[in-house]
Amino acid sequence: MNEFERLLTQGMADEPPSPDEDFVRGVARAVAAEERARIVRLAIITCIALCLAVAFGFGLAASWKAVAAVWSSPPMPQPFVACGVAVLSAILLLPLMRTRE
Amino acid sequence: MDPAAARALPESTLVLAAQSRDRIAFEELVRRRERWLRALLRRVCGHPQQADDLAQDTFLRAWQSIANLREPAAFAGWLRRLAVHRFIDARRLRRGDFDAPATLDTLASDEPSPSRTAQAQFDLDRALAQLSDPERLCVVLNLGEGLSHGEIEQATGIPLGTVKSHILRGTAKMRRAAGDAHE
Repeated sequence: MNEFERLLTQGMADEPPSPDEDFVRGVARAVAAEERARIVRLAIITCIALCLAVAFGFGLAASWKAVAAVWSSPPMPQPFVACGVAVLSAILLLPLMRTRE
Repeated sequence: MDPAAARALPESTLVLAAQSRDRIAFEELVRRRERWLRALLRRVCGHPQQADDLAQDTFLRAWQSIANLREPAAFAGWLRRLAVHRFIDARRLRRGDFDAPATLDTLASDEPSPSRTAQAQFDLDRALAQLSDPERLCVVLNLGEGLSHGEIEQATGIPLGTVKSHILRGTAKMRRAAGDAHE
């Protein structure tokens, strides 16, 4: 490294001596707002996923009822099937709950 | 985590705490790294206000993606890479072309910066403002941050040969600027 480059390196090495608390507070506020937004996003996605799962479960239960009306002895009791379908739907919808990091 | 306790902890411990969404730990990381990051971005950008906006945005991105950082000890390098990418993205968004040459008006600032020292016998900010964005970025990372050409290639995504030519050309331009200032 020659003299000129050393001069440039020295010039670029300077930093303010103490932290800028206003800047730190600004970043802290932005981070807090981002966290709140993230929680709201998660809550909305969870709510939508649950609603979809319940609606899907009810839909299937209704269609099962129609099947049961035709077929007098279904292989499984209806509520178990409805719950099973709801849980399965929730599991399938779980990836939607992940927010982009 | 208590703010007073956070001040006594080493950086890697703070990074681990921030990865488990501890905001106090992250705030302490910001307090320790903001001077360095803002000084780096001010040299690279030329505009103190834009540099501060980019620095704030970089810290916010860091908070969002700190869980992806595998090696806590590499926090500074990781943060620098985030800042460099934010700078390149912002320049592309504003001008559409990162490689376009910079104009002196948009880069030179009248606001005094810490880089003006007694040893610097010419105006470093003005000399940096003569360079194009990629030249300035490569020169600052090489001379200011001490990164090797290979490290600059990794941090910026600019090909190695181009990094070398940017540094050579940038330093030569600054030398000329220094010569002009002395005449």
